[in-house]
Amino acid sequence: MIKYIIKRIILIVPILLGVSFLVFTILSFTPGDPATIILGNGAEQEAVEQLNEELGYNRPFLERYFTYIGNIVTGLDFGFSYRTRQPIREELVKRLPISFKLAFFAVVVACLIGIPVGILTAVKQYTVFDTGPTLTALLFAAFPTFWLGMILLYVFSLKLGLLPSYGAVSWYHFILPVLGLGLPEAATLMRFTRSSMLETVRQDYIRTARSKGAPERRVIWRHAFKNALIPIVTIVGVDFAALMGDACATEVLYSMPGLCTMIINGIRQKDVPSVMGATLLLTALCALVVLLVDIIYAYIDPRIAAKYSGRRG
Amino acid sequence: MTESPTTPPEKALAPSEKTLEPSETTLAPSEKDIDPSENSLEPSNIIFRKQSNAREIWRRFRKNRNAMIGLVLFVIVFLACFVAPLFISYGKVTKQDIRHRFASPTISHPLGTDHFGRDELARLLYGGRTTMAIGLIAAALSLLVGGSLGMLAAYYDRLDNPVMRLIDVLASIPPILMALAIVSALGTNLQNVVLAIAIARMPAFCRVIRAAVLSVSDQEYIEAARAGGTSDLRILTKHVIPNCLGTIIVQTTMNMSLLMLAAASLSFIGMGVQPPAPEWGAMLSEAREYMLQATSLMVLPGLGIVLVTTQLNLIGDGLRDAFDPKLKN
Amino acid sequence: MKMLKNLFFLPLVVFCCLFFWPNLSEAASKDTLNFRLLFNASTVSPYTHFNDADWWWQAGVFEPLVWLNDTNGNFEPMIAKSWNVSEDGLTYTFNLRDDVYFHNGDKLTAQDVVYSYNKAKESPILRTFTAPFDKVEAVDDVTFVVHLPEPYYPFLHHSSMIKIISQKVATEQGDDFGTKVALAGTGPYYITDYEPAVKVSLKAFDKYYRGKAAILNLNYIVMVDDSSAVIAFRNGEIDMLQVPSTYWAEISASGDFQTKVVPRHELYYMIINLNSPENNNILGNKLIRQAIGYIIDKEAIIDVVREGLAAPYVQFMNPQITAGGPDPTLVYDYNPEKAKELLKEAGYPDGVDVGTFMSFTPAEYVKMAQIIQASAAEVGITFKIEQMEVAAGLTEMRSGNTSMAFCASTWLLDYDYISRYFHTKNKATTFVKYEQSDKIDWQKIDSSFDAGTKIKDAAQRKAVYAEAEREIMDSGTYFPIMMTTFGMAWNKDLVVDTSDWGAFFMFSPYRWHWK
Repeated sequence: MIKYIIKRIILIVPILLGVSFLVFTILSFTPGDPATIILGNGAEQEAVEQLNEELGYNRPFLERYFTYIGNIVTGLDFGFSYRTRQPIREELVKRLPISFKLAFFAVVVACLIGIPVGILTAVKQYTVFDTGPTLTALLFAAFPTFWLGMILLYVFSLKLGLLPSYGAVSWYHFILPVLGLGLPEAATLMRFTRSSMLETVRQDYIRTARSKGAPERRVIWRHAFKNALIPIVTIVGVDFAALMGDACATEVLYSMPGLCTMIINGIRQKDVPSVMGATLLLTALCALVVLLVDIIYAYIDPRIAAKYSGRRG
Repeated sequence: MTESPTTPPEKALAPSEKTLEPSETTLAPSEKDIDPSENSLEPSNIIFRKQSNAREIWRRFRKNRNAMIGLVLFVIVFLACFVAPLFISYGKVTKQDIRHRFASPTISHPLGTDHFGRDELARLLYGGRTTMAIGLIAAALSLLVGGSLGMLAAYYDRLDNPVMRLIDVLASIPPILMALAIVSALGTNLQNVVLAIAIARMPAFCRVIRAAVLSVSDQEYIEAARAGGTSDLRILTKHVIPNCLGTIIVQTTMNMSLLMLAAASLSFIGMGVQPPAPEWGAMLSEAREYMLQATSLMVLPGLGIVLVTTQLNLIGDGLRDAFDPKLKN
Repeated sequence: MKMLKNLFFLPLVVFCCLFFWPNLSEAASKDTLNFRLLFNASTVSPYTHFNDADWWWQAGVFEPLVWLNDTNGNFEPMIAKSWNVSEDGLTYTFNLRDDVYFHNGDKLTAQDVVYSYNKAKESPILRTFTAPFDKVEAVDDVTFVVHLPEPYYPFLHHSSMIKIISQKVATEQGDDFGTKVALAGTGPYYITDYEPAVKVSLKAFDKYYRGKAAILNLNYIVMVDDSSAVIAFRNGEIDMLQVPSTYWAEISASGDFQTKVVPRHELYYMIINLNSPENNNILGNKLIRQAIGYIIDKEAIIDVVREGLAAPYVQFMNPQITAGGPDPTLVYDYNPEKAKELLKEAGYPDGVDVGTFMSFTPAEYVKMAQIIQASAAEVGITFKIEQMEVAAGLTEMRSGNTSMAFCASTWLLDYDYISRYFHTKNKATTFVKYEQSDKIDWQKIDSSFDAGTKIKDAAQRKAVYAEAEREIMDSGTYFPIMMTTFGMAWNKDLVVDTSDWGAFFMFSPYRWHWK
């Protein structure tokens, strides 16, 4: 098992290298340069060249790329932002918690709503407790996060004046973005929990448990939920990883200084180190979360652990 | 839902001694005995029953109330948006009337006007056309490229590793950021948006179709065909693809809605369709600036997106159930 | 099962409690003012590449020697009490105040000013302002002299863009200067907190030479999105806002706030590239270019794009307040009939497709492009719109690859400033390459600009520059559209002195106070 984990972690390295090269290439071969945008349309050409020189943007593409990777490998040095000259590493340290909190609490909201309601709908199939939530979930699963965000902003911030509309300073700044991001996720999770539960409920061992006269509550929680949980864990983990990257529109809408806005602004301003740093961090995080899920998964499901430790381990 | 690179195969999710529950499903008795294979996505591996299968699938789909509602509604919206050109000329979409901005609904403007004084109804209908077309074309493109890659990777062992590692790299970048990078590199216009979201979505297609093809390609009749000297191309087109059709259709439908949302998100961040062509995401993005003045501008395109996405999800669910009755809830 | 529960929920709860428990922000008090920053702050240094956001918050931290009050056209003393210009226009002597302290407590000397001017000279972004001088010196502690190699009439205005910093602080911080809190300014406020993506906080400086400010704390909070900023303003989370134009009507009519429209010198103009290869150089036809000039509906643009927060403009600079700014020469007003005539004269009575219009991605540009597209379509001129990010778009424009585009520029109040857009010696930065065309008398434009800086007499300068402007306007390559204004709104309980709010207003909360 340990060997498997180590092998998986090592496999992340080529992925990161691939991602970094891909993004670096895209950024480098698009028209425009950082100095042009920093100095604006009134700048003289000498000034543009001087600044590009200062920023190191004039050097050849491959040289820049390998210097960049070299600095990361040797000193975990992500370079400096072209725009603010702040070290990227510090910037990442400041922004990561915001993106992380946003995705984390969105997933928490999704779990707190999605799983219980999903179980409820599965247990009470074909009653009003099933159709009501199922239809609602169907709608919410189709909501673009940015539109839900806009509506929440309009109602709670503009009309009611209850919650702030920007930033990520304290917990109440997070309420609206987390809901905007979490509710569609909750709907998806609910639908998934429901089908997973229904599938489990139909299994033989549940029928056996029922026929032995076990109380319904016990059957549901002890037997059905326990088994339905396994795929749900996978989905939650994978969604958490996806949400970190998909929070763009939400971060833009609520002016949150997270990793996604760093990438969006960076792309606009040709701030290559910013984009690279944030993208690499997000990619690494996603890969790690997925790995974590796989480990938990193997831990829960002995068949998989056996498979890996037995043959490949 | 995002496919994790290494999530264990789906068949492991449910206990292996899987039996079918002949309860509330629309399961026909004749269905029970086909498909002994473990793969839960593709039941029909008997090629000569293809014709009757299609009819059978349609019959099951028809019995699914939700899916039918979805389909009927989708057809209505689809027709509304694609037949609109016959009744409303494109001129109305771009015709500005600066003196009647944010007008309330009237006979000539049933849904009022926007910030340029343009007819909101015409823009909604034409906008839906763009949004849906983007979803459709991007899904097709993504399927074509991602699917072919997945199929080749699954069919030719030596291609498997390089292709899948490439796909791993692509899949590791969050799709919307990937699309953003591509659009900013290629320039903002309709074709590039489609291309960007299609590329960003490709890994998902590639993986699912690879899994489906893998499960088919070690079947005995494929082995037999190979041994019999049938060309690879022929095996792929005559045997492999028809047997993966269920997966392909379900995946494409489900992904169409995701791609639509992705395109709308891009437009929302300001990297989408070129004005003055209407698109629901872009219309939302514009309407946001007028939140105080004209709330309805912010509501209608969003409703459009939700409607179509819901319908596509319903249809997708229905198709999945119809292709594989075992999965029916 | 129990184990499972523990496995997931216990760590989760502990995690939440320990790491994510929020710290509540302190309650706003009456000695604090909160502003919005439109973008992330980008530097603490007044010499590295600052953006608009930096300009706002740095205004209270760093000060120049003199400042141009454009509400009355007078230069007003800041760090320099007085100044004089030598007869030949080559030497500027500034007499400095002797009671100016830096935020670290040190006294300002002329040596700091010398250091600042030399440091500014190295900066690419200040290049425009520092180019005219070649040598600076400190005669004594309070006398500072600038030497120019040749007379440059607008220099005093340029010098107001060069802020003074403490030599000691800047050298101590070395390469880090600009990236973190530095007590290097002389203004009424000093920096206490600098988080570029979140906020910048300032505190009133005790030893400010004009007295300590009444409002003790200033917070500049980054809110990139307009809607969220307006909502925050309405909810009282920020006290003063440069209102985004789409919200101006509601905010100014609501009666809940004090408001003022403030002029600024940001001109929006349209550019037509006469060398564009599209459609067999159709835009090389002067009549068609001029026809496009007559279909720019400035009033509609101001209505839709700026919600009234702009004034239509027929030339590049306002002759009333610009040194050397000529009176209008050739005026393009919205006139579709005239456009049709020109089109017919050009040989395209049934309309013509002129190719692609490049618009930057910000919403205002895109809206303008759509309005011009719609009114052009009415006279039969068609084109498609293509959006580009500003960085990419500017590069394309400068290399002459775009056919039509908009640009917005903030000019300094001297006509020479715009020579960089027209003088053919600036090959890399002009948008239209006049020198590649034989249909335009670019030698005349060049010589006008060359002559202009060497003339001291205002009327003579105007006459010289009028030559250039007539030639440019007639060529149909640049069409001025509008000069934008700020819509400022602030809390009703805030007492604000707006008397000095011109286009270059010294943003000076140190004279404001709460009721």
